[in-house]
Amino acid sequence: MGARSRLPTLLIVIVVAVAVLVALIASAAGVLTASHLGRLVLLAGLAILPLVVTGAGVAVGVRESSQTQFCMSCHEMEPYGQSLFVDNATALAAVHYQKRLISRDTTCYACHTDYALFGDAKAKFNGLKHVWVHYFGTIPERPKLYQPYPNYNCLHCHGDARSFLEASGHQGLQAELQSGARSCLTCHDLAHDLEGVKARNFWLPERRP
Amino acid sequence: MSHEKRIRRAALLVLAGLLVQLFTTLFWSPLTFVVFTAVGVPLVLLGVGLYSATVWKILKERKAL
Repeated sequence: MGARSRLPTLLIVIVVAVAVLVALIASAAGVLTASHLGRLVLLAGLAILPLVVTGAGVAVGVRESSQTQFCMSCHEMEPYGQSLFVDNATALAAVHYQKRLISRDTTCYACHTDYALFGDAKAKFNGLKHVWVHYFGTIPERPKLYQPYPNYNCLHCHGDARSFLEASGHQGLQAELQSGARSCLTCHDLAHDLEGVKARNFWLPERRP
Repeated sequence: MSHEKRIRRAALLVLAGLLVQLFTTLFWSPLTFVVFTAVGVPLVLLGVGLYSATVWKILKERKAL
């Protein structure tokens, strides 16, 4: 069992322990308020421990909800997940995934979170909207981004990479790319190759010659 | 409402929040994550808030503040 799967299990055990403590406090509140030690138990059981456990739960939840598997648990995302395996060297998602440029555990999150301040919070808030649309709204045939894809998300990793700096196509465009005046997607315009998914044109490691 | 009753009510709110958190942690999915953040966390915060308000009230009554 890896560290990743151990953490939620540990959290569950701690939540159970604190819940039992709180249940005992609820049944013996009168006795506890009478003594100094009892008041300390109340402080720990009704304020400190629940807040710590809730904070840990939120942290684990944010981490778990950043996993590729979590994003793929909604069927609307299925073609986008499959697009990671398309055999197309110009499709950004496929190239990043297949060349292991981003972690496979957090593939969606790596590119679809904003690297600016509060980017994580914004991504989670947008995720809440997705859940709302999934259950109560009308799911668009092709989901759209909330804002034009910002260059700084690309430059966060590529900005000081030799391959980026020395590419002939990037020469003379550095200022425009850095300022965001020209979008990276102007030239790299295929993010997810959904046509390749439809055509089942996949790169599978086991099919290598 | 007596202080004891308030504390008991706070404990029940915290307990309810923790149970919601427990259930949602057992079955992580986009929906349970929303329930965790929209129901579990506010219930705990409400309970802690009620407990803190009660302690504040008690301290004020005893002129300890």
